[in-house]
Amino acid sequence: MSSTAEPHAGMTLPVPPDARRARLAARGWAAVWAVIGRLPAGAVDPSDARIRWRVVAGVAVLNGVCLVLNAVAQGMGRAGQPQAGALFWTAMLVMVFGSALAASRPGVHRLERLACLVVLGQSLHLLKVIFSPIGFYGFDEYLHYRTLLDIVELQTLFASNSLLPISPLYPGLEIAVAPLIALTGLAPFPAALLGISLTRFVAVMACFLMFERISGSSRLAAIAVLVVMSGTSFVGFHGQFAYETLAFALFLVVIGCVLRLEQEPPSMRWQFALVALLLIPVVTVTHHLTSYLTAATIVGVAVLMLARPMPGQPRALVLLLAVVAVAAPPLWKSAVSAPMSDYLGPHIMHALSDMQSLLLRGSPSRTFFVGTDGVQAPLALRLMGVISVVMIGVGLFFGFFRALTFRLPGEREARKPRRPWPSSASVLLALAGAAFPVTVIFKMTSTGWEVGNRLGAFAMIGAGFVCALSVTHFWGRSLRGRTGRTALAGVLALMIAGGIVNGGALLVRTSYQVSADGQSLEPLGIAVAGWMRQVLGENNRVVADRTNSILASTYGRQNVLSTLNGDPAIADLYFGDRLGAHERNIIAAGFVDYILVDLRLPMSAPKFGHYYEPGDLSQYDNLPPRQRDLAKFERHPEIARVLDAGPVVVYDVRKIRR
Amino acid sequence: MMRVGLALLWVLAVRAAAQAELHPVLRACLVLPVLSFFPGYLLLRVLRVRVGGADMIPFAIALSWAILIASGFVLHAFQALSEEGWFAATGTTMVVLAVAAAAMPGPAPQPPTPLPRIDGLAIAGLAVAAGLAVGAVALAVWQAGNDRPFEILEFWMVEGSQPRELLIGMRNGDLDERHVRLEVRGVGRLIHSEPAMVLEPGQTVQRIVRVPFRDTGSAERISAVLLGEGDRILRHTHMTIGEAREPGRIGMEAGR
Repeated sequence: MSSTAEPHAGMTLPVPPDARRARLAARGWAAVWAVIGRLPAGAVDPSDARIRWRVVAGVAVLNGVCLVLNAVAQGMGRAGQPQAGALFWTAMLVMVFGSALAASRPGVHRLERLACLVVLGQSLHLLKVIFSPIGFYGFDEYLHYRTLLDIVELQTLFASNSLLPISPLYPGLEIAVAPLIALTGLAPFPAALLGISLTRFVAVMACFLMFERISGSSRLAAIAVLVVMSGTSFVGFHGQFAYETLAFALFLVVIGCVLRLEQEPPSMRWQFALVALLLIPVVTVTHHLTSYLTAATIVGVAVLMLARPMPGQPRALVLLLAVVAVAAPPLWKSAVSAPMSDYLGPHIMHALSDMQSLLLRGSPSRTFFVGTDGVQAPLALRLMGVISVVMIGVGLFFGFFRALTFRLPGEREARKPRRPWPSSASVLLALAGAAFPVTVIFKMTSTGWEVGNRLGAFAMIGAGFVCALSVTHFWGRSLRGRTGRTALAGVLALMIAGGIVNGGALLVRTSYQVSADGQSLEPLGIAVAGWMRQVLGENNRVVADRTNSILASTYGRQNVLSTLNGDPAIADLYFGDRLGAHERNIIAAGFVDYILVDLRLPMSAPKFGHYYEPGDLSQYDNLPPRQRDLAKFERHPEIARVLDAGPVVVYDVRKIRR
Repeated sequence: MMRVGLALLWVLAVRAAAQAELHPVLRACLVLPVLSFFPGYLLLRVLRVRVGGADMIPFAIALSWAILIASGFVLHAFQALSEEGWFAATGTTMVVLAVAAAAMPGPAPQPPTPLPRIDGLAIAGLAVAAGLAVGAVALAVWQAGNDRPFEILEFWMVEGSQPRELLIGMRNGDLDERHVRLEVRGVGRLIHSEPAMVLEPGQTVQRIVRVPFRDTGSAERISAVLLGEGDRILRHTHMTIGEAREPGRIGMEAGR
C-alpha cells in the first residue's frame, strides 16, 4: 500500500439512503426488464439448415389424412351422429399440431417453414370447402357472389346489388375471378374457391416474408404467422368469398413493401415503393375499410420515421406513399358515389356506444359461446376459445416492450447508438398488437363484435409478431428442446382451434338449421331459387327470409328487398296473423312482386340472430313467426299461390300492390 | 426474345384450349399462370425489383391481380367484359410485358434463387397428399349431394301467355321416382284431370291448361292439386282469374 493511499481505503463507506434506494430501484427495474423487455443475444435462430422436402411432404400427407377424417366427420354430423364433433376436432388439432411443429422448430430451413405454413393455410381453406362443398357457406359470400354473377352474365361492372349495394362499387375481387370463369369455363363457385385459395396462399407468404424481413428470423416469422392464424378471422371471415379477403392479402403485400423500405439499400427502395404504389389503388377499389386501414398504417410508418432523428430513412418515399394511400379512398368514393357514411357509420357508432356502456356498466352485453338459438358450445370448445385469447394476452405482455426495442441481430454494433427506437417497423407492429385487447372489448358487445372482428384481423398481425417475439426472446431456451417445442406446437394448435371457435366459422356440420347460413343451405332452397329464375324470370322484386333471400338473389337472380337498398322493412309482413293496411303498404311501397314463405322457420330460433332482417326477433318477443302467421297469404283471394315446394311456398302479390 | 415467344405461345395455347373445349380443370391449369402469375412476374422484371426465388411469388401474384383489375376497368369502359375481351386483354398484357422485360437495358437485377432440389419420395408424398385432399373434397361433395333433409317436389301454376291460360308444372328433384296425378279445379267444376304418371328423378313436366269461361263471368279461384298414391294431396297451388287484367305479365317487371 502506498503512502499516498486514501485514508479510508479498504473500508466500506456507508451508502446514502437516496443512493441505496436508487440502486434498489435500478435492480428492481433490471429484474422487471429482464422479464418484459430484455433481448438476449443469440435468441434469433440461425438459418443454415438444409431444406428437407420429405418433412414438407410428410406434413402435407398428414394434413391430407386429417382432411379426409374431417370430411368423414362432416358426413357423420349431417347424419346426426354425436361422435362427429370429437372426430372433427381431433383431426383438426392433429393437422394444425403437425404443421405447427414442423414450422416452428429451431434449426429448420426458411423454405421448409414457409412450405409447411402454406400447406396449413391451404388445409384450413379446404376445411371450409369440406364444410360447405356445394355452395358458399357465409351470408356475405352470397352478396359478393351476386356481384360476380352480374359481371359474368351481364358483362358489366357496377350493376345494382339490392342486398349489398356497396359491393358492386368495390369490385376488385369479382373482377379478379371473372376472367377465370370466362377463360376456363369453370362454374362461378369453383372459380371463386380457386381465387380464395390463391388469396390465402398470398396472405400466408406475404405475412411470413414481412415478419422474416423485420425480425431477421424465419422461426420467429413462422411462429408469428401461426399466431396470426389463431385470429378469429383467419379461417372464416378471411377465408370467405368477400372483398375483404382479397384486400387483406393485398394489404399484407403493401405493408410488407412499406416496412421493408427502411432495411433496403437506398438504390432499391424506389422499386418496392413503386410496387406499393401500384397496389394501393387496387386495395382501394377492392375494399373500403381495408383501404382506410392501409392509409392509417402507412401514415403511422411515416410519423414514426419523421419522429425518429435518424438520417438515411426513406422518409420521402413513405410520405409519398402515405399521401397516395390517404387520397385514394375518398377519390374512389366520390368517383363511384359510394354511400360509405350510410354503410359504415351506423356500425361504428353503435359499436362505440355499446363499448362505452360496457365500460361504464362493467358487464358484457353479449353472451359468449352461446348462439342466438340458445345452444351453448361444449366445455372443451369454450376452453380452447379462452386459451386462445389468454395466450395472446400473455404473449403481448412478454413481447410488447421487446418489440418496441427490437433490433436486428448484429445491428447494435453496426449502427450508431442514441436512437429512440431501433426499428420503426417493429414499433408499428407492437402498437398494432396493443390494439388487440381493444378489439376483444369490442367483441364483448352485441353490436360492436363485428367491428372488433374486422379490426381484430389487422391487430392480429401486430399481435402475431409480438407474441412470436415473446416466444423466441423470453421463453427461448425452454422452448428449444424436444418437450419445449412440442409444447409450443401444442399451444399454437390449441390457439388456432380456439380462434376457429371464437370466430364461430366452422364447426361440425349438422343437417338443416334455421337461419344458419351455410347450415341452412340445402338442395330444396337452391331448387326453389332456380325455379324462380326459370319460371318467373329475372329481376322480380321478391321478399324472403335471410337464407332464401341470398339464394333468390344469386341462384334466382331476383331483386330481393333490403333496407340497405332503401326498401321498406319487411319483417312485419311475416309476423302477425292478418294482412292489414300496414302489410299492404309494405307490399305497395316496396313494389313487391312475390313473397317467399319458408314454413320451416317456426321450427326453432334463428342460429344467426334474425329470421328476416336484423332486430326482428327482439321486436317480436324473441318468438318465431307462427304457422298461422305464415298462412295468412292463403286466405286472400287476390294472392296467388304460384309455387308449392312443400316447406317453401311462393305467393304472387302483384294484384294487391296496386 | 425467347421470353416473348414463350409468352405468345402460352397465350395461343390458352386460346386453342378454349376452342378445343378442353375440360375446365385442364384449361384452368393453363390459364391460371397467365392470369395470376406471369404478368406480375414480368412486371417485377420491368420494374427491376430485386427479389428472387420464393420471395418473388406473392409480389408476382399481387401485381398480376393489379393488372387484371385494371384490365377489367378498361374492358368495362369498352363494353368488352366478355371471353374475347379477357383473352385480348391478358394476351396483349403478357406480350407487351414480355417485350418490355426483354427490352430493359442491362443485366437482370438479380438471378432468381434456384429452389433446392426435391427428391422423388417427397414428390410422391406431395402427390399422395394432393390426392387425399381431392378425395376429401369429393367425399364432402358426395355427402352434400345425398344430404336431402326435405323432399324436392316442386309444383307450380302461373299465368300462361294467353288469357285464361295456365302454365302448370311439376319437377321431381329427388333421387327416387314418384307416382303423381294432376287435377285442376274451378269453383264447383273439374277443369282438367290426368291419369297417374311416373315422375322420374330430375324430370320436369309442364302442362298448358285453358280455363273455359263460366256463365257467371265473375272471377274464379282455380286450384291445381298434385295427388300422390291413394290420392293424398302432395302439393297444391291456386290463383284467381277472370277479372280484367293484362295477360302474360309473368317476368314482365324485369330490369326495374
